[in-house]
Amino acid sequence: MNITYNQPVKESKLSIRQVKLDNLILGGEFSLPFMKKENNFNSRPLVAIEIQTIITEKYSKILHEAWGDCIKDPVLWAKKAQEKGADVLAVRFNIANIEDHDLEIEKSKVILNQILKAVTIPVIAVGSDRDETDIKLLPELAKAAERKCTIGLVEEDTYKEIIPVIKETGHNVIVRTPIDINLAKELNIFITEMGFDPNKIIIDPNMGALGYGLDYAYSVIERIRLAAFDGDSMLNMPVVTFVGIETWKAKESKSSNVPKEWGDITTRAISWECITASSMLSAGADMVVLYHPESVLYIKNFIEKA
Amino acid sequence: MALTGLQIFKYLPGGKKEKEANCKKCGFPTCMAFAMKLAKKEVPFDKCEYISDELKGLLEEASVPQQQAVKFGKADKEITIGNETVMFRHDKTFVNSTCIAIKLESSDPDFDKKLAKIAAYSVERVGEHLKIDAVVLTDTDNTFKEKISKITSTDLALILESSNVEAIEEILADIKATKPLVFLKDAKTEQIVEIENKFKVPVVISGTSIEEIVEKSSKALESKAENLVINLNKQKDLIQDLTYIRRSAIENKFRPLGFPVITFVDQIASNTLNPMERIIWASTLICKYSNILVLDNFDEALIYALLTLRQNIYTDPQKPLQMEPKVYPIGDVDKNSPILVTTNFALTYFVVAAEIESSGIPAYLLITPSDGMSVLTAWAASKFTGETIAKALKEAKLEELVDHRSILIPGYVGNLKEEVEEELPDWDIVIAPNEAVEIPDFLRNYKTLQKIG
Repeated sequence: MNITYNQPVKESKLSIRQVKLDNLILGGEFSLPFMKKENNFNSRPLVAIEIQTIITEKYSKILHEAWGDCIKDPVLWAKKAQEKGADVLAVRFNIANIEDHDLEIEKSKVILNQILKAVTIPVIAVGSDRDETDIKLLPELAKAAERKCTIGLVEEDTYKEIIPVIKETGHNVIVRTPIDINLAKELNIFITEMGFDPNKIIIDPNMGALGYGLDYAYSVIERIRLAAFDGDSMLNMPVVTFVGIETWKAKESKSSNVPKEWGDITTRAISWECITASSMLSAGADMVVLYHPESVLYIKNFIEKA
Repeated sequence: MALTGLQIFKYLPGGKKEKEANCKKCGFPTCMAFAMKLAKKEVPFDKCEYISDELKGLLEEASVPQQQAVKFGKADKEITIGNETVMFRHDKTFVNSTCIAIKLESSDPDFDKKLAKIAAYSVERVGEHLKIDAVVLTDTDNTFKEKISKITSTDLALILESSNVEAIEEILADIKATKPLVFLKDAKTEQIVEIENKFKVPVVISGTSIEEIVEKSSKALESKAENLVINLNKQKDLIQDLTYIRRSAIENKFRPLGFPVITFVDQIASNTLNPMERIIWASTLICKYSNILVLDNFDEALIYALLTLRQNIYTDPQKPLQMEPKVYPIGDVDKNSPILVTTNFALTYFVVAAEIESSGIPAYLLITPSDGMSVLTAWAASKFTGETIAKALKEAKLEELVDHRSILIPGYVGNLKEEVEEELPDWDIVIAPNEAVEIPDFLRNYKTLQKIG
């Protein structure tokens, strides 16, 4: 029997593309997460905090308590998020349900530029998640932004309208596909065929929270990563997962009217966000976008020690 | 790697075109049929009188597991860990869920209370009862033996942690039948192996580097001890090293590392006392290659999140849990009860059914055949359409079950309204909320509106 241990180190054919977020680099790694020996690039996953421009009654009381009244003013909230240690700030312009769209888009442009002035960290401008709104909103935000940022989410039904403007204005883009490696690759091909720089694309493979289809996202991210290291240049973009928005709509983060085995609501809600984030990082995500400031602290500590 | 039916067939009389070909003495009509059964390990190879030594050798070699299956716990509650064959769940599936254990010290003044809580913990999720599997009992005072009997009187499996070899030998002589996993700290490999051989219980081989573990486990293998669980006692680069251990076992068939792994969260997180950070570490170790995970803290909320992750990671990706497509009455339904329709993805069903139940309003839940996909995925794949909804509704004979003609469709696929209307012109299609959690409020309002209407 052979008893000599040889470290089973692997080499990748291709590394993950480096997307520049101001002075930070997203991606760049040569290996699966936390495999330091195989990674020739000194990178670490980034932690973003997401704020939103409109607070609805669905917004969690736990989050409201954690952030305080600054959530009523997106600019104050952005500053607070930076103070809480966010590497990156994501601003969600959730204006889909507002009647007067044109007016709201004008307001959104102003808010974006106020935030870009108020914080020094990189900014991601996220749309409303409604195609008709995003087709108008995202190009306007791209044109208005007074510093380079990242614009998202662009999807199969919206990329044709939005991509040309982002290309012209020089921002990065987040491309979302519905938990499917082939669709992710296909859309990256279509977008680069429009002349868009592949080094400015971030993949959002979409995801479900812990207990709500997390396993699908987990495996799709692992497969995207392995395909990239095996040489697929249309899948070696960094991956972002919007953990916060998914976990904070789960029943576990919302409801107190549950079996006592579910434990304390605040602990449960934060652990739901943290464990969703840590498993996405374990699968290979380069950036997790979180809601609760404590989650940010814990996940950053974990990344540092892992 | 396991041999395929075709590979096996080549070595059988049929494949070699010998005169004994297809003799049927094995009970199968052809050598090919037997080869296929053999490949699936559904028959022993000695059913064939003519099997060659060459094939026997190949089958024996192929049957050495990449990662040893280790069993412990009482006969009727036995836990199996290990026996994994892939690095990634999407390659096939992970088979034996991470065993979740809580550590208790025998001198703990709250021992009884804690044990009772751990043993009673059970939470239902997607039709499964999620529980804590085992307790690690650490020998910290002279009540060790007494505490063991308290644990063995529950359904929990037992993991013993002690540095007193003699005491453990004495205890094992009495409780062998409960088949604990034994972790002798600071003991020599020879002593550990002797325990395995003598009492037929699995034992832990621990080291601070992979090299140290290989040296010890090789020694154990020489002494025919195969019931091993390995423990890497370090924090730095732990995920990388556990990946190397699993890779050596699965991809290189490196026997000295072909064993399940036990990880103690307090070993790796000694400098991070925060329970949330510990649970984050624990969660990554479920993803990355721990077969037993030992926590030193029990908090309902954190355990619930961790057990949910384990369920997610260990679900077979090729067989998403599915419900039988039919109509499910939730609560005490009558002719006026509302009808909700959704897909046959088990998670979708259980989440929606739970919310209907909590609303207190009895309703019919119509489940369509949609290949176990969630609503949006099924819709994107054209498995949840006006046509499939109409067909399911007719097959379930809902026209006869209710007096009204209204059906509630998930909010995310509100754009299906017209399509369903075309298929079901007599029915009123109502768009329900996006998220299941909003169903109770929605149903209450809906019932009120119905009464007014």
